[in-house]
Amino acid sequence: MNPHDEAVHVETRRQLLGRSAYGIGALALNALGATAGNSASGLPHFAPKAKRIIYLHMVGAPPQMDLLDYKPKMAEWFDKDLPESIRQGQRLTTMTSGQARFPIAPSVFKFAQHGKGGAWMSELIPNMAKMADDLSIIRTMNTEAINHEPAITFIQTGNQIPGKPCFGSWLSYGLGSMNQDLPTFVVLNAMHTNPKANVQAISARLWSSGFLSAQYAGVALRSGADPVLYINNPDGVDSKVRRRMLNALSEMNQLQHEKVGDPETVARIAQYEMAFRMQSSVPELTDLSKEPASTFALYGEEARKGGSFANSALMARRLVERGVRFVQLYMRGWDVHGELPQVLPSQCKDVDQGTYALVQDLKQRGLLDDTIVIWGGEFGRTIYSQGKLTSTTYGRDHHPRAFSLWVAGGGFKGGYVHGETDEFSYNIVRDPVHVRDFQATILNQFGIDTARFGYKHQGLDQRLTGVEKAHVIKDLLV
Amino acid sequence: MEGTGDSTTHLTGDINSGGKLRLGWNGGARYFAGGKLQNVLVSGHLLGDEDIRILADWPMLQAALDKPTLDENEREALARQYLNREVPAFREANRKLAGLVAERQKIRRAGAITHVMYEKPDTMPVANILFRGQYDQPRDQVTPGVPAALPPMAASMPRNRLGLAQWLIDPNNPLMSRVTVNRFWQEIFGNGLVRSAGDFGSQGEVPSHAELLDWMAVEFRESGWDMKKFYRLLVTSATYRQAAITTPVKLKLDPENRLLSRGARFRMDAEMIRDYALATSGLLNPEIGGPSVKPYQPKGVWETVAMTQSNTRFYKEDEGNKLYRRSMYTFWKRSAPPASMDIFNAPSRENCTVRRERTNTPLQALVTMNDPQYVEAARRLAERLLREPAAPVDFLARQILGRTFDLREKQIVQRAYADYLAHYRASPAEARKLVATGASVPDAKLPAPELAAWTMVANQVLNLDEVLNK
Repeated sequence: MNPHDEAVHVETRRQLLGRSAYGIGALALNALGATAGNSASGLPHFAPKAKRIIYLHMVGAPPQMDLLDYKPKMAEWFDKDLPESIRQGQRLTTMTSGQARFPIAPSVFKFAQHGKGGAWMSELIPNMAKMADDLSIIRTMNTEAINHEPAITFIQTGNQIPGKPCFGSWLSYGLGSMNQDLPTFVVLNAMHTNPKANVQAISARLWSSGFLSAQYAGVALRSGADPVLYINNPDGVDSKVRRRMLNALSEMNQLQHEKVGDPETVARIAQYEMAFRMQSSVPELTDLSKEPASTFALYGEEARKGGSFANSALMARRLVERGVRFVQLYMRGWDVHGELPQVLPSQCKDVDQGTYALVQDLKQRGLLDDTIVIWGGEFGRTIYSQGKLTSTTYGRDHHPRAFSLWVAGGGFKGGYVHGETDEFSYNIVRDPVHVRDFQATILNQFGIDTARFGYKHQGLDQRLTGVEKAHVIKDLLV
Repeated sequence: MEGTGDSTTHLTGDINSGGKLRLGWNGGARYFAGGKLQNVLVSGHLLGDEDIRILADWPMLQAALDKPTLDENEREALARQYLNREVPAFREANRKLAGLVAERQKIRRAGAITHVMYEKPDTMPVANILFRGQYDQPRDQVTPGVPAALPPMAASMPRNRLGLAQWLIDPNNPLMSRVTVNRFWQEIFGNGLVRSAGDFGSQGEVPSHAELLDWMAVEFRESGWDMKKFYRLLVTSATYRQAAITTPVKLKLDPENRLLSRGARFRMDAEMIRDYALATSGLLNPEIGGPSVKPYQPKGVWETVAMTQSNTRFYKEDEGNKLYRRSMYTFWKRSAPPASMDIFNAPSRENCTVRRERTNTPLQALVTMNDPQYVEAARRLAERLLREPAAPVDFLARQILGRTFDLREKQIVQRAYADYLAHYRASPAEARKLVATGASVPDAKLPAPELAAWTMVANQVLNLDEVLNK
C-alpha cells in the first residue's frame, strides 16, 4: 500500500471514532483513558480550578472522634449509656445491635488547636496538624450505607450497588488524558504495618469503569518488580530483542492491513508501540534512585520501601507530575471494632508523615493549587463502645450519619472547618455534606456541573451523583 | 443408639482420649437427657442395624416369656431372633444387604448434593420492590406476573416457573425467539442485527435488518428451537462466508459493517485468545468437567484486595496439566478476576452480560507478549517446529494461521529468526533463561539458542493481528 492509501485509511479510522488531529498515537492513548486534550462533548462546563486529584481513601473508616471531630464533653460520659434522644432508634449493624448497652467511650487521645483556623486535631496525626492551614476539614460528611463494601462503593461510584463507574473513570471519560505514555487513572494499594489491624477486603470493581468503556478503568500500579501487570519482558528477552520482534510484528501486521484493510489492524500496531513505550516509562516512573535525599527526609525513610504508604504517597506525586489525572490510593486497616487505642496509633503513624509530605511536596512544586488531595474513609464510627469498655480500651462500630474527612488544594479553603455534629459526634447539627454533595463539589472544581454530566445507560441519564439533587458546598471553596 | 439403629452415631476417630467415658454426650453437647440408661454393651466389632435391633429386642422377649399370647411386635421380634439364630441364609442375606447399604451411602457421600427447587404448595410467593434497588428499602409488594409492556400471560398459564416457560415460548410472544437469534448472530458476526442485544425496548437500537430478524426468529422457533441447526444456517450463509476484506469504498459507505458488506472480523474473547494459544501449541489439556483450576497469575493480585482471614487471600498456582485447561475452567475470584482475562474485557461476572466490550489496548499487547502462558506456548511451538526440520516456517504458519506465509511474510520471519539466532548464540545464558519460562520442561536435546530464537518467532506470530482476530 502506498503512503497515500495509508493516510486515507488512518483518516477513515479517525472519522470512525470521531476524533481528530492525533493520528495513530491518539488511538493508542485513547485506550489508556481518553485522548490527550480531548474530552466528552462540552466539557468543562466552566473554567476549572483543579486538573488533578489524589484521593487517599482510608479503607475501613477512621474514627472521627479520635482524629478530627473533638468531643471534650464525652469525658464526663465515660461508660454512661448513649441517650435514646441521640440514638433515635437509628439503624445499627448486627455487630452491635444485640448489645445490652451502648456505653460511651470518650477518646483516650489528646486534642489541640492548630493553625490560624484553630482546628482541633488529635495527637495521633501531628504532621497533618502542622498543615492545618492547608486543609478544609469537613466534620459533617454523611452516607447512606452502613457496611464497608456498599459504603466504599457509594463514595467511589455514587451508588451502593456495584456496577457504576467510579470517580476516576468519570473524570477520565469527561476530561481525558494529560499525558502521552501513562494511564489517565491510576490505582495504588498501600500496605499497613500493624498485623493486628482489622482489614477490610476491597475489590478491583472499585476502579472499574462500569458502563463506561473499559478504556476509562483504573490501572493498578503495583509495588515490586512488575508495577503494571505483564510490563516486564520474559527472562532472556531484553528490550533490544523486544524491539526487533516488534519491528517484524509491525511489518507483518502492515502486510495484513494491505490485504484486508481493517482499520483495527492499524490501531493494534499503535497499541503495541504504546506498550513498548510503557515498558520504559513505567520503570522510569517507579525508579526512585534519582530522588534527592531531601525527598526521603520529607516522606521518611519508609518511602524507600515499595508498597508502604509513604512510598505510595511519593508515587502519587510522581504520577501527577507526569500528567496522570486521577490517583486513587487505598490504605486498609482502619476498621477498629476492637482494641482501638492499641491499633489506631500505628495506623496513623503509617500515614501521617507521608500524607503531610505529599501535600507539602505538591505545594513546593506549585502543583497543589490545581491538585485536589482528599483524606478520609467511607463512613464514621460510633461514640459508644463495641464490646468491652475499660479505661484503656474500647472498640467502635460503623456509623454512617456523621464522619470527618479533609480536602486540600484545588481551590478548597485552607484552615477551614466545616459543619458541626452533636456532642456525641452522632447526629449532624449544622451544615451536613452528603456524599453526593461532596462529589458534586469535587466535580465543580474540575469545571463540571454534575447535573449536566451524564451518560445514557439502561434508559437513565446516569450521573456520578445519582438521580437526587446534589449541591456544591460553596463554603468549602476559595 | 436408642433401642433401634435409627440414631446410630458412627465414630470416625479414636475415643481413647484418656478422659472420662460419657454416655449420652457428644462433643460437649448433651443429647440424651431426662432418661436413664440400662444395659450398656461394648462390642468388639462393628454392629450392623440388624444386630442392634435384635440386641434391643432382647429384654422385650425376656419379659414376654411369661405371657400367654404375644402381640404383633413381640411376634415379629421373636421371628427375627429365630431367623438370625437358626437360618444361615437369612444372616448371609442380611450381611450382604448391610454391605450394599454401606456402599450406597458411600456413593451418595462422594457425589455433590443437588438441590431441587419447587413451588411452595400453600403460599403465593411475593417480592418487594426495592426502592432505587436499595436492599434496605423494600416497598410495594408484587406477585408473579410479566411486565405490562410485553404480551400478556394467558390465564391458563400458572403463575410460576412453568407458566413463565410457557409464556416465553408461546407463539404469541415473538420476543424470546427474536432476542435469542439476535444473540446467536452477535456471537458469530460480532454484532447483533439489533446491536443493543440486551435491550430490545424503547431505549434499544432498531434492527439493521428487521425482516431478516423476524424470518430467523420464526425459522428458529419452527425448527423446534434447534440451536445446532440454526448455527449451521448462519455459518453456511453467503453473508457469513464473505471475506473480511475492507476497501476504502466499503469503509466509506458501510464503516461499521452494519450492511454486512464484508465478512465479520473482530478480536476474539479473552478465553478464546488463551485457549487458542494453548491449542495451537499443543499445550491444551482437553479434559472436560471437574473443579476449577488456577493457571499462571502474577504474584500479589489476590493479596492486594483480600481480608486477612480470607480463604482466597493467597493464590496458589496449580501444577502439571491443570495449568493448561480451557479458560472456562479458570478459578474466578470476583473481587480480583484473573488478570489476563480481565484485560481482554472478560466481564466481572457480577451482572448478567449479554454483550462484551471489545477494546484494543497496550495492556493487552503486554499480556500476549509477556504472560508466561503465551511465552510457554511459543516455546512449545518452537520445540515442535525443531522436530520438523524440513520446512519449519511453513509448519509454524500452518499451525497458527491455518495457511502458509506468502513470500514477503516468509522473508520477514526468516530475517527476524536470523537476528534472534545471532543474538542468542552470542548470549546462550539468555537463551536458556527464555526457554525455561513456564512450568513444563523444554526438550534438553534441542539447542537452546535455536529454541530461543524460534520461541521469539512464535511469540511474534502469536501476536499477529490476524491471530488475535476471528
